[in-house]
Amino acid sequence: MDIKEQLLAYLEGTLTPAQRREVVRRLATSRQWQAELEAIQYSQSQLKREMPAFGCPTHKQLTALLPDILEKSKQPSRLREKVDWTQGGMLLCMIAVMLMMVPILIKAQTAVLASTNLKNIPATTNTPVAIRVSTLEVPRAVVASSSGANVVEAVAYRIQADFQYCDIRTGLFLPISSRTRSDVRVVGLTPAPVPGSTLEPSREAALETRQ
Amino acid sequence: MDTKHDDPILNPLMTRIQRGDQTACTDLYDLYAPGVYRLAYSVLLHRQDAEDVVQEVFVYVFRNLKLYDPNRGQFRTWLYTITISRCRNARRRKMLPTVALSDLLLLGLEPHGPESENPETASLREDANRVLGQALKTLSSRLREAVALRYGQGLTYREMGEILNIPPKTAESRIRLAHEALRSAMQPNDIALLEEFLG
Repeated sequence: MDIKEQLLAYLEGTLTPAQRREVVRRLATSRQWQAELEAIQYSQSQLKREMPAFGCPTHKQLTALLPDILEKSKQPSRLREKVDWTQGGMLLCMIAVMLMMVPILIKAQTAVLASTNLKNIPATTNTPVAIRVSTLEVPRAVVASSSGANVVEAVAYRIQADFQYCDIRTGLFLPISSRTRSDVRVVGLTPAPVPGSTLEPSREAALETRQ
Repeated sequence: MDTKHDDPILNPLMTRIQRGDQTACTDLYDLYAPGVYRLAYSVLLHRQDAEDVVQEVFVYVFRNLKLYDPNRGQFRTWLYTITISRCRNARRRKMLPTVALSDLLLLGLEPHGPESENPETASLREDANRVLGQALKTLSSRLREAVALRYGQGLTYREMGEILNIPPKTAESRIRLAHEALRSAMQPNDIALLEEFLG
């Protein structure tokens, strides 16, 4: 153990009697040991007194989290503990079907973009970046790019740890890619989405604005 | 689930939860959530992230209470192990280039003191919190975890070792390193401010 380790153990009271006697002897004779002890003693006493109160939450703050916790804990976990062979086979079939559908989906998306006269949303506009939103307080946020003339209004959604945004002009959900992580300006917050609600009113409003 | 809990408060709570008593979940939450939040906040130094961690931890705990084995350790140790794990996940997520909405909107989401504090005490507490927060920011995440467990939660090196999955000696040396780092991080002005608050 070096000086600091010995002194910390001395303050913590974890030294053996012999080690403790040795530290006491050093402290009585060495100025360096005394200075080290003072320094460690200071930061230790500060931490001991201050840390227990550091970041104390309010009752209101924690109470607000509880309903969501209770509701989520009732829902079944997405991770199954046991998956039998039938389920595994079905899962593989589903993945295979989804992979086969990828080219079709890409074609369909291209067609939609062409029909709305938008060649490529991320390339032609400054699209919003990933926005960290609390799933409790702000389920979604309206964001827009601050640079360039083409201000895009979009709704960012948090899907687990990832984010997607929905361009309300097209109604398309798009992943937030590294290319879209440019500067961003938050233009406002929407209320929590009502279950079953759609984006149609906003989409219509955006189309009206464009016209 | 084995119900050989020694804790006189925890034991009846566990039994009630096993019976499907919803209020027992609330009681368990009221008992442990402040500690989980303080630990998460001390490690992440961000209110919203700490709240997210509290949510993730308790959702996991209520779903997986049957996994807790009292013979393997205290409930608090199990809870804090989950909390540290979730904090590390949160930190990893944070490494992605994202923009904190609360920061952008300047919502003032720093932790509040007790509601009964007068404005002067609250202001001093905020200042002291800021000083300590800035000092903690200078520590590496591993050292901050150690400080939060040791001084924030008052755990022994053995308990810290169980939670962090390290030998107690390593926990002790992390605390020593944290002291060294904090000593240089706490400037004289800031120390005076802390002294004023602490009286």
